[in-house]
Amino acid sequence: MAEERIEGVERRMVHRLLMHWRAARGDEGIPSLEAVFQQPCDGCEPFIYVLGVGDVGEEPEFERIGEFFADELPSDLTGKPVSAVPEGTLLERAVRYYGDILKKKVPMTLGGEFVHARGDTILYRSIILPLSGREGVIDHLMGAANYKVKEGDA
Amino acid sequence: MGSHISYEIYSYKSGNWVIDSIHDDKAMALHQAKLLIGSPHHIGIRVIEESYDEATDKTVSKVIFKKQKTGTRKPKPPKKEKKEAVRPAVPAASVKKPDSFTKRLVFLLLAVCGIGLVLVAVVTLLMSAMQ
Repeated sequence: MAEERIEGVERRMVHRLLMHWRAARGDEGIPSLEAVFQQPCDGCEPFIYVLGVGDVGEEPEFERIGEFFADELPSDLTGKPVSAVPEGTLLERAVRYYGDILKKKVPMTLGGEFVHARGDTILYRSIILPLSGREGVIDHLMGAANYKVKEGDA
Repeated sequence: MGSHISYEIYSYKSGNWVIDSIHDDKAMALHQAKLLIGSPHHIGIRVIEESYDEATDKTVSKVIFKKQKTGTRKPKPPKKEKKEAVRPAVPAASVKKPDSFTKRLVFLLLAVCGIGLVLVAVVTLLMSAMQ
């Protein structure tokens, strides 16, 4: 597949992860967690988090969180529900629309601008991808996000 | 109050447009769409811009990208060929007609011959009885 250049470091990471997800699924359908992690996604790992999805109505829990988010979190949230993410963090922005992916069962990208808890205004881009080990059942969500500080705000 | 815009990518599969992904970024959506149409897994791609106006609570949809591979119409003719292949089966039914006609003719001839033999036998019996 010919790959055109896409502008912006945040867009490129989101794009790269989406292409990685597509490659793992092959022709169609939703890839499993194992299929996605079978091949390394060049440079994506630090920006990736994985949510384990339980029964309907249950809040997903973090199964892994990339080191990129470590600085903004007070503690390791692995094993904790999404509601444990502090407000005003990139991870909180990146994970807040997970319900839409569970409903639509397709990848979604979302970006925007917000004032980080640290005080910087940041421009971010995020993506959440559905993962399925059993047909028709979303058992994991894989997300990623990165950002840049808005010019004049650094 | 404001408007919310999203870009939905659809892929044409098995006669239906199936949603592939949703983006809030037009450039990202169009970039993905162009990549997808270049892939052998996709024969048609379109991007729909969905604008939701909170003030009016209305959503306006607009196709901003649509591309279908020209070669994708070629695989369809085999279906027509299949239909044509079915058609000879219909004349095949008419081929049966001569068969049934022949059978009827043979049956009629046998019946006539049988009746003739019976008549000959009856006449022979009558003649021998008269003698």
